[in-house]
Amino acid sequence: MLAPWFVFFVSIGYLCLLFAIAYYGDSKADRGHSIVRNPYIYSLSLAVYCTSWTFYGSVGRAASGGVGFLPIYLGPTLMFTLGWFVIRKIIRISKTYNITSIADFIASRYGKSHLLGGLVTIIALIGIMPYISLQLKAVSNSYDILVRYGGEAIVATSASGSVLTDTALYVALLLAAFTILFGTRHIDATEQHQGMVAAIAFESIIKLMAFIAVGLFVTFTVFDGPGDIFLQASTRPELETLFTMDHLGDGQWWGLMFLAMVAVVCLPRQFQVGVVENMDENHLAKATWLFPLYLFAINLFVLPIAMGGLISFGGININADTFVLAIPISEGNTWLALFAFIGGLSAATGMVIVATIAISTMISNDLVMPLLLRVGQLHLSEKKDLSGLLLGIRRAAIVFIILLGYSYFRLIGDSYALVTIGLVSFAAAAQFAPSIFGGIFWRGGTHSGALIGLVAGFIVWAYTLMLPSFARSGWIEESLITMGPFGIEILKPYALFGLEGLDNITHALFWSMLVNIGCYLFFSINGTPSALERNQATLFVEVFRQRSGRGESDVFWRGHAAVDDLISLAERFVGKSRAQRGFTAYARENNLNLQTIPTADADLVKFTERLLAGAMGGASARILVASVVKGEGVRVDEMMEIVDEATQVIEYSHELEKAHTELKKANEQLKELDRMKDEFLSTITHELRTPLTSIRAFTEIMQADPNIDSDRRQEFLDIVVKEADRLTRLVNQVLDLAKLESQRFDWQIEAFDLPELALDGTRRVEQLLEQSRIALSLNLSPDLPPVLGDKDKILQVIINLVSNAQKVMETTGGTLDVTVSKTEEGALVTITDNGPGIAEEDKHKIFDRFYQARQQESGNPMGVGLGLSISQKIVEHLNGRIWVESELGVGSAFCFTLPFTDTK
Amino acid sequence: MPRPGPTKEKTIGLFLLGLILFNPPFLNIFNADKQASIFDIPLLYIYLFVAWIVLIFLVAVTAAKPSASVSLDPPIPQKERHKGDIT
Repeated sequence: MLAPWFVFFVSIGYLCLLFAIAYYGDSKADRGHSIVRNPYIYSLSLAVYCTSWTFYGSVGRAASGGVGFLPIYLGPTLMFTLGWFVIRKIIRISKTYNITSIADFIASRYGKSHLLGGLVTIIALIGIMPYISLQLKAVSNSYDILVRYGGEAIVATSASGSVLTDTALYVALLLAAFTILFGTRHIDATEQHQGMVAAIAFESIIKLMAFIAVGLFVTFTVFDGPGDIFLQASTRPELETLFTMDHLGDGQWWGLMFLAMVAVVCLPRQFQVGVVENMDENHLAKATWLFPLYLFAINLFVLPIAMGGLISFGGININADTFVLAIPISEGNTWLALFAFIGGLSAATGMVIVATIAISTMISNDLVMPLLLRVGQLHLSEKKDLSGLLLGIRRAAIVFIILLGYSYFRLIGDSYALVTIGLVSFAAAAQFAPSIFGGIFWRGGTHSGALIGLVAGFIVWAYTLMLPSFARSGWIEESLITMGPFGIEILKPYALFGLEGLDNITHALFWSMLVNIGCYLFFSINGTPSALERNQATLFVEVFRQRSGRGESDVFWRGHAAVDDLISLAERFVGKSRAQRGFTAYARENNLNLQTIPTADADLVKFTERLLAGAMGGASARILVASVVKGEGVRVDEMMEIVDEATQVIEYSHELEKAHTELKKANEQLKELDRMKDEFLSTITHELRTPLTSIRAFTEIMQADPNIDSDRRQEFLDIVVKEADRLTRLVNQVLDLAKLESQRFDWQIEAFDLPELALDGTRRVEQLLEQSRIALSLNLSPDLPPVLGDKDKILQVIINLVSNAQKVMETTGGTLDVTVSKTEEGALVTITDNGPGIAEEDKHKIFDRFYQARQQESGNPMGVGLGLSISQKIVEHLNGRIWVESELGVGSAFCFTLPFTDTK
Repeated sequence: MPRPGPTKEKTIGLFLLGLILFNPPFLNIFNADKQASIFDIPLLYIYLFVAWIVLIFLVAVTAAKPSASVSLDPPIPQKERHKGDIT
């Protein structure tokens, strides 16, 4: 027997140690050295699954039902064999969309719905209430036993007596205080609590060691090995049933297995440690077997302890739930009993801390904040820091949850065994399963399906499990159970519609799952999801296909927001420093300077939404961000409802295909351009070199021989001048071309008379034509309307074309015909020669740069092959058309058109 | 989907194996003979715990080489981005 003050101080000391570990973990995390970032801590933190239900209750269950306690641990083992497939998907979704709780998860999946988030929160709160009361009951019972038990029978008296002398009340208050310290120590309201995870992992080690220590003590000190225990037990006829599973209906076994399987994911606290607190999804690979191994280890001695207790205490009336403590005490091993008490305390505190933190996050993010946002009490227009408000809400929620658990404990008292109370909570958590698992694998699940399924399942759960538990404790008429409400037998909560032969839990599970899954499927299949729901469904179901990052497709933020507004919004909810850090990192990663860009693009808006979601949940974050996004904002429904999903997908793929071909074409064009640039450079260098070489040669001759006669000198100088001319022309043309191509040409658009210009142009080369014995014939339409264009440039084009014609006929002579006439397109200028003509295959190449240069190895030295190219660019810029008609041996006709002033 | 097959199929295979091992009617085989025991420990108990540890072992062996699936999945830039600042 231990002094109460001693037990009390050991307990407080242990809690302080936990707090120190959490503090250490947090401070390490703040400095960037995470002590929890490894698969072993992750697996240990998952072991928060084992609460005092496991620690004390399993033995109690085994003492009355043999292996009947095992499905609760085999279920999670099965779920974790699927873990890499199922849980990893949930983790990936939650990480990608900054999901903070199970309510947030379900709300986000079904169109970021506040209604669902709030509903899940309420179900979780009510559903978990029995579970927390179980922990309080276990801790206060174990404390009472430790300080009062002397070897004779005692009956735990916790639920009787006044509230003020009740151990459980003080346990509750103490736990609330510690949970607040653990979970809401940070000024900034974040979703991860590394310190808490470290403490939980430590607790998992302690409870495992304590339980195994008791197991070894019972098995090998009190008895002579497991064989001895079972042999002794088998001689007692009253224990015979425990060796078989005949008394366990198959339905019950299956039911419990299913319940535990889904609970290990759907319980708020398991979601918290397994998904939200997960640091790296690869840790899950080891956890898929480490966590089941932990469950295996902690269950190994349950049967020996249960049997040992039953044998040792024989006929004495001792609650089997307390064997873990009672055996060491009755054997006089007080220190081991104290250790076991600490182990049980670990199991209970771990559960209470994580569960209340998880639910308080849900209450603040999915219940209170949305309500405040809705009634507009937050004064979003005022700039003030609201992260304190968030923390305040969470702290109040923690106290509220624990006190709620305490009131349930006072109400229910000792009417149920530990395990039965826990299973009630499991059944509540199982209501989330259809929405969660359906939501991540089936795109068709809709908001209304999930909502109606959850409500229906929850009502059935409350009616078949919660209500009867009140009835049993005498809070409402017991006749509800025995006679049915208002004497309607068919509605008896434990035998709904006459379904009998199942235990309460399996019975409730069957009915609630039936209506839950049924409604979920029925309303999903027969309803039309909104665009946002469809989008979220795709994002969740296909999470492994998403490559998130900038430019990620989110059609839902089309409006623009001021960067300042976004930053100040984030600062108010997540705290200044964290918001600053987040935005700085974002800017750095995307090479943006947030000071210089005034409006945020969709990606930055989305980033802000995620940042806020981390602190207060997806649904609330969405409303907040919508409050600062201006203009179009969220125009989801109107925009999307026009197009049905299917057509949208098809359209999408078409667009993709189109974009792909366009890209391919652009790429080819670029390659071609690149090749042309190289060619252009090499040609132009070549073209520059020829005149330069000849200038240099002749000047060198004159320099070397001062006595050269004056005629020769004159001749050489003529050549030098001519070549320099050519160089100038070439450079001018190249400059023209460059200007044309870079659109920097200075155009002087005006109306002018084209025949007059043609006449002017032809006159300028008249002399040359006469020298080459070329006859000129002009056919200029007299009353042509004025054309629109750049007079100087068109003159350049005409001179160019005429001198080209002159060049091809220079040696042979011939006739040059210049015609200006009227067509539908506008004015048409035709310049016809009877030179050698152009081959068919060259016709389209002739306007290429340097085309002629390539052809004229021995030909005319005057042309550089840029003239036609420039002419083409000029004419096309002026909305005209230029082309050539030609026949080999007959001649060529170069034609171009220009629009009249009155043609469009 | 870039995820490799083996892990997913093995996962489901092990799950089904566990489902069969741990549940009636298969379980009833070991419940049939009430007196059967090994080292005085009832056969049903032995069976459940042995089957359990074997399943855990198989899961561990399968999980030991998930590298292929890890590398083939796209990275999670969002998560990486947030790690230092938001989480």
